[in-house]
Amino acid sequence: MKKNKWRVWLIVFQVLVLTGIAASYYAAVYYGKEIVLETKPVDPPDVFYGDYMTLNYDINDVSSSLWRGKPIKDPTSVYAVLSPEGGSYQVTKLTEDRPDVSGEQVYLKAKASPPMEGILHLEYGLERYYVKDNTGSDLEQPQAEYKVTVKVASWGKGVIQKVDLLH
Amino acid sequence: MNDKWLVKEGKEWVKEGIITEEQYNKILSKYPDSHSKRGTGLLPVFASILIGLGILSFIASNWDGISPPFRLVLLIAVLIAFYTVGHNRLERGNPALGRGLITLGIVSFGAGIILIGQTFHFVSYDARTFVIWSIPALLYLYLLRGKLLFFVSFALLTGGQLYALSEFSSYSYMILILFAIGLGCFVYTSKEKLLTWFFAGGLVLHLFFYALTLEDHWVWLVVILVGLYTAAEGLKENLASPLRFFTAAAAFITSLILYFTLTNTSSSLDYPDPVWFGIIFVLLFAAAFFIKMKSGTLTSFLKMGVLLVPWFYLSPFIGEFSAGIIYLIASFLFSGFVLSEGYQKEERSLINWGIILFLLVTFIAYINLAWSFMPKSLFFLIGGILLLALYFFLQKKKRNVLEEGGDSHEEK
Repeated sequence: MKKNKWRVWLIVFQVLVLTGIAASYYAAVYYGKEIVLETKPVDPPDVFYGDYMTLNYDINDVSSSLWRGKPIKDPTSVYAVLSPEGGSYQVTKLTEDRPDVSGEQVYLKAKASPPMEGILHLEYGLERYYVKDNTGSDLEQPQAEYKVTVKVASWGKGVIQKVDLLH
Repeated sequence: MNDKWLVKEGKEWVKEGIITEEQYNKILSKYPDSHSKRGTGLLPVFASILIGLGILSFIASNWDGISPPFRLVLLIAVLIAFYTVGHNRLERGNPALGRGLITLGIVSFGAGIILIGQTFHFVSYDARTFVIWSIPALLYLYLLRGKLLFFVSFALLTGGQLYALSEFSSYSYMILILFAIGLGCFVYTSKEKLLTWFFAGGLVLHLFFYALTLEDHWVWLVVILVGLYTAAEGLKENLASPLRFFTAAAAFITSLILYFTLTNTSSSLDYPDPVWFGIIFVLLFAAAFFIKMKSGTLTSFLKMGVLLVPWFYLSPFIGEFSAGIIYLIASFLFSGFVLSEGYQKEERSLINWGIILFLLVTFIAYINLAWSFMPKSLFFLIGGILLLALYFFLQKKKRNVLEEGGDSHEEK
């Protein structure tokens, strides 16, 4: 009987890991604040890879003057504070530690690459949108810009809700 | 042992009166027919692979009709089913099928993680999926052992590292640790030679990937290799000898790469800080030196040491081209050492390695040095003749040594 115990626990452990990961996303969707992000114009051939499209947001490239910490030489984890500007959200501050945000502001965890010519490239993990078969074609327009609705949890995790054409 | 060969040859021996019918049957019974067993034993493994691929492609094709929560429930049900039936088969005394099914459980677990990521459109930009995925694989490897689970863990860790490196150019130290310690401890206690060789080769490959992420400073690889060689001295021979082999192979390839880059780049290369490099290198080299001297195998270390000396630091004094030529000479010396060791020990495999390495160095040196000066037809012609001549010379030498060796043994 004792011999069988670890087998059960090992399966339980894996099921818990899977449901735990899923729960963290559901929590972000449930508790998150809804924001809108805009992408840069791109041509569909550069964007669509089979079952997903890549999204290149305005907030992916920011001025390196927003960063006040040590110079970035290797990919570094940072926090990007986003504030509403016009119809969408823009990066207004970058911090090393978890920032305090208030009101309409939210923050996202990001990975920053070393700056090039004053531009800092940030990746949020939100750059892929998996498209269901035969439904992505509406989004395939030349020079398309997209409006992406994202739920951002108070702990800096973002989950894409939907992608629409901007115009 | 090839039974078919034995059955056929044995009959001839009986006919020729070398052995009697009775002895023939006795010999045959010593080598039970393992073929049919081995063949059917592989079937569950192949079946597992096919079903695993099926599950993966099922998920990859985005099963649209099902809602995300239900997909997860379905996947968890599949996972539990595979593990339960797998354990059940193991208990009933069918280890191959049992382990195959448990492998499928592991595949479903990883598929689940990928599926959740896709459902929520998340990209991780690192190897964390594979880190989480490989943990149950390693746990099952320790609990159930077996080659299949070893190769599953090996593939997850190596594939994960490669994926993160090629897709997101990020190197995972966690994967390196899981590979070195997780798989290392397993093969250390395992008696399977195949697994120790795979592990040693894989470890050198993971460290090689690491060196690639250092870009301009990739020559730190030299220090890593000396470190690995030194560390191997503290291990049992079953793991130490494949580690030594792959370290030597990596050192040889590194020398050839350095020879090639140093003799071909016009701009000067960027080297790591010589002080730090020097201190760590000297310490490790000295450690290896003393350990090998104590065990009386210093010469074998010095033979490889010729490849590991950071000759490239000489380039500010003698120029990059000359430093590159030193690497060429070192590679020639090394293959010469392997050859002469083979001749001394009359070991056919060492001689063969020596010949291959020698021809390889000659070939690369010739291409690199003669390509730009010679008319192309002459280049290929002379190159071919040169290699053929060298090949015949080395083969003749090898035959002489092996024949002489054979005779001298008989005389004794």
